[in-house]
Amino acid sequence: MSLSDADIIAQIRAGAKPRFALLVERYQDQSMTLAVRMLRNREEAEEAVQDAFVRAYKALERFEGTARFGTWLYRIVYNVCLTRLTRRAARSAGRVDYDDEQGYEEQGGAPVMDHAEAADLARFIRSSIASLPVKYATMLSLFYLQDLSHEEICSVTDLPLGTVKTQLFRARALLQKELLKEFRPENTTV
Amino acid sequence: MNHLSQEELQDHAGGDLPDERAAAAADLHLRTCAECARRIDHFRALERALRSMPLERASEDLSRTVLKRLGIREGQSWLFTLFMNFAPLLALLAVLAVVHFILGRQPAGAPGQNSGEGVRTLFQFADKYSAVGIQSVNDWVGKYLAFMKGRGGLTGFLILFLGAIALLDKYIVMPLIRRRL
Ligand SMILES: [Zn+2]
Repeated sequence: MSLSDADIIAQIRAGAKPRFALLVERYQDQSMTLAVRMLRNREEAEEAVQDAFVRAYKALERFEGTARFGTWLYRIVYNVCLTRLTRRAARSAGRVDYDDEQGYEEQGGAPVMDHAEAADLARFIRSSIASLPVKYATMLSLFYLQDLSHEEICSVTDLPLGTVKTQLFRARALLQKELLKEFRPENTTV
Repeated sequence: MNHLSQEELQDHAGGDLPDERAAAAADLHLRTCAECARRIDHFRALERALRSMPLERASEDLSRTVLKRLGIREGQSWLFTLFMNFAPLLALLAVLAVVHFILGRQPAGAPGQNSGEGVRTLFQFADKYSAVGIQSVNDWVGKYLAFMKGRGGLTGFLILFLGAIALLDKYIVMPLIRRRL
């Protein structure tokens, strides 16, 4: 018998505070994945996820239950990570990493993989994603791993639907390009 | 004939074309165009790979750390607090009940001291801390737990008694509480 998110939230509101651990355990890996995709640093991602859960608990009163709890939570994770990225960029007096598309193009796409790495499609895609501009890696995570709809991604990121769709399209196109470059050198069209 | 755009290929591979008519038109084209069929295969492979990416694992003690940061002690509900405070007392009462039950079953005409007397003194012991109480506990131990005779008797009894409470608390009372929460 597994309780729904709404059941657990109702119990927490009724005073069973330690029940929040159940929600943390239910969403910790998904949240961690989103944070790692955005921050590209496990340690910092771990801190960000902790912060996000702490915030989520404090804001639980304001969760209305119209959206899925996951979507509501990922919005918090997303914002915590975005704040960290902005702070990081300010510290290094550079651009906000999140929108850095130019850097990617200047490098000529993802770095070339060694053969052992390229032999494994999953690992190849993983490292390709890690070298995409952060906003694309984030979109891919939200869509494929957090399993959100386009509309849910809009509510997580506050981006308009058109932008979400364009970024997803662009992310897949870039990945496809890397894949073909790696696995099918004879094909030049995508 | 127009090839499918990259956007159409992606949408089709992800099962996300805007309507049935568009999907049917794309299907028709894919059946007759080897070039587009090859390209959509690539997108389908990418789609599959993206959907089967493993998740990152959060550290084992994340939930504990979060609760700690929030100042929530595990099992801080009113029910838990109640049981936490009363568990040793409940265990004590349970042990006394068992002792009472065992003594109550002894035949009334047992040789030596009256067992009923011993039990009554045992309860009085809790109230009065009287030397008489301790003495009768000692007598009782000497009678029913013959293997712990003499001066070590009371100590032995207390060890057994406290041990029983501890075991009861650890293996029965606390697990029940945890399951309840
Ligand atoms: Zn075609």
